[in-house]
Amino acid sequence: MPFSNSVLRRYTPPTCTLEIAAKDSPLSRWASRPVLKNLRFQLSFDDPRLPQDQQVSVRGDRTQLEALCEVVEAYVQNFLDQSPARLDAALLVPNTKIDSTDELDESSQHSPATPLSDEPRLSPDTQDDAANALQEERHRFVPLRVPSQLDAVNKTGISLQPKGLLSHNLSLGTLANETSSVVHLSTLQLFDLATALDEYAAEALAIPTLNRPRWITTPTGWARSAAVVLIALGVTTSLVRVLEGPSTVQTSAPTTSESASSQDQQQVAVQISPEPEALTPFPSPPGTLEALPPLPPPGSATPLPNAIPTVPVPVNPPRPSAGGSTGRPSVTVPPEPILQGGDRSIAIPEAASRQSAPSVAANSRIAAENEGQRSLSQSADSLPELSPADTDVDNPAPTASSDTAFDTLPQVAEARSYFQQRWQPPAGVNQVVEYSLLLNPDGSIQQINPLGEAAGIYLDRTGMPLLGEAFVSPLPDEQSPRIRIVLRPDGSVQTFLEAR
Amino acid sequence: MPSIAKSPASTPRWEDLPLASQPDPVQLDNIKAQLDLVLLALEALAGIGSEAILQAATELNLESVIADRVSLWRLRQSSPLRKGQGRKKLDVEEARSLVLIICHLAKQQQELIRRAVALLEQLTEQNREPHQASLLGDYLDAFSNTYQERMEDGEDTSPDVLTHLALKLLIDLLFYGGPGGPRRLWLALLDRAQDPRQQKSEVSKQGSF
Repeated sequence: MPFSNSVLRRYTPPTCTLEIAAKDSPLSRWASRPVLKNLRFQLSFDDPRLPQDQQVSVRGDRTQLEALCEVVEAYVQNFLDQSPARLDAALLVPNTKIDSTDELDESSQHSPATPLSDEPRLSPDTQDDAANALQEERHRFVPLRVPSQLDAVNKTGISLQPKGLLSHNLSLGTLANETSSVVHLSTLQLFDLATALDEYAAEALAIPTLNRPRWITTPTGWARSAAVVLIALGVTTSLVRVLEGPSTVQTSAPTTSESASSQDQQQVAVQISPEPEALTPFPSPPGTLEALPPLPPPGSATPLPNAIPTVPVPVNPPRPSAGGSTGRPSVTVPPEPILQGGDRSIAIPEAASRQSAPSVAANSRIAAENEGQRSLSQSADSLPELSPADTDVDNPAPTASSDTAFDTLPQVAEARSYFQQRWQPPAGVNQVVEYSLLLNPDGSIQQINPLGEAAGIYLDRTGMPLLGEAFVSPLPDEQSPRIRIVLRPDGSVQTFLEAR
Repeated sequence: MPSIAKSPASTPRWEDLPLASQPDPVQLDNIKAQLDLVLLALEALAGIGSEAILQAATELNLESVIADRVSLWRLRQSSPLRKGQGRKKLDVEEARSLVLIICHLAKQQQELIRRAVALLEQLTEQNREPHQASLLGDYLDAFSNTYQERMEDGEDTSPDVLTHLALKLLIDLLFYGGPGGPRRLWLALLDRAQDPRQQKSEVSKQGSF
């Protein structure tokens, strides 16, 4: 994983291996031990006595690891709490009749080295006693230390049940993969598992998602405003330069017609800026889409009608542009020569014109690109936030529609539905959680770039697939596109393709 | 139930062994009995005698609590299960010290304990008697003999029960020697002592208290 200050730990008792990958949190310096965030773990039950194909491996996040720790610790303590005096022969033999009363009959295609001895010759009353003892003990297996931990355990469905004294069944709950949902552990394996988990717990502290106070985010807002203003200035300058050039320069845009107010121009400029970097398909209202085709490609010599080029740039790539819905955007549709004080803005979907038809856009892109792409896209993202304050561009609620203009690649839609199924905004989230994902040609993720603090904090709540894991369908022509994922506090999800 | 604080499992400390309230005499007796049994298991498995125990006390800076053979003997003798019941009261500090010592010793003997448990698992898997492995056989014999010698009800307890007791203690030792061992042992002691069912069965089994 591409973490800048990543932490890797391995705990290797003889019969299992616990690997932790996490990021070191800045909080570590104030804690007595390393504080980890974005934690992922892999636990392999790799007892060398087991044949390879019976060695189970599971992966999960912080919540699952904590649940596992809690379950194992409680189970071990419970196990030890049983006074020797109450034990009967039955409990020592792993495969007794008692087991049938367990709720263990989940499909376990695995039975690694589980002793399958014949049923013991027990007298009925001994069996009953043992069964009762086991029954009572089972009630005590519920970990009740801390409500949040109990919550984690409940959520993940991880649990341990005994099969006598020497065999234990670990139900994997949400950790289960396609090959196994239950792992059979001998006492030694249980001990090793407990040891690895104990050592991990003693060494580090993994923090849950944090709820940042509102006031902390304000500065970002200011930064965004500042960035936008700067960019607007820069773009305007280049526009002006362009305007003074020969009119045959198509990429030159904006013949900023006099009809346009300078304010509009500003806005146009502002809106243009996001384009260069994040020229990903914008969800634009179907209506305006049609307006696009007529846009002359930059290369053409057709001069744009002398009206303000509707910088079809919807202010924010991530959010469906003010689109025709309620748009008050001052941007107008390109094909429509006249600046209609427009209620419509068009997001130039990349599909419609990769070359960014509006020459304006193209131009600004050129200019903007020189200014550093990253910041542009960042500011682009931030633009929407500003709209209420600075621009007229409206930011209506995101269209969660399934068919948007951003879906130039089917994978974009696939990505969106993937996250829509999984994204459940944690309580207290009040910002967008955004990632830039670089895909492999086979559709798995090559790189995850969280954008902004919230993205880093909530990564493990997004259901983000692991690198290399199947995510979307494979891409044609060995492409490796970048997809932006935007997860909103209201639960909606947007995705779009980022410019190459 | 005392609250549990998760702390680094490096060196056992008093904080690892929390106590919500002073155990009553009955509970303390229970604790004494259990500690004595665990030490018995260590003795039977690894030949650990007073020497080793005192050595451990020194290493853990617990000499103030368990100074010499005599006090150690009296401590162990105070177990209600013993013949000729001693009247020495075990106080909580002594109990904690013994917990730390036991876990320290269990840790030292980890390899041996692990091997014994592995053998036990193997034999059980194959449906064979544990005695068939010499390590286990010796352990079980030593345990039974010593138990019968020292304990009040020694003669009356059936070999099967003793075997099971010994094997459970063996497995427990595995966990006591791991990280967080002292905490686990301590909690187990308190839990068992507080459970009225446990006490009843102890009493009924042992017959005297």
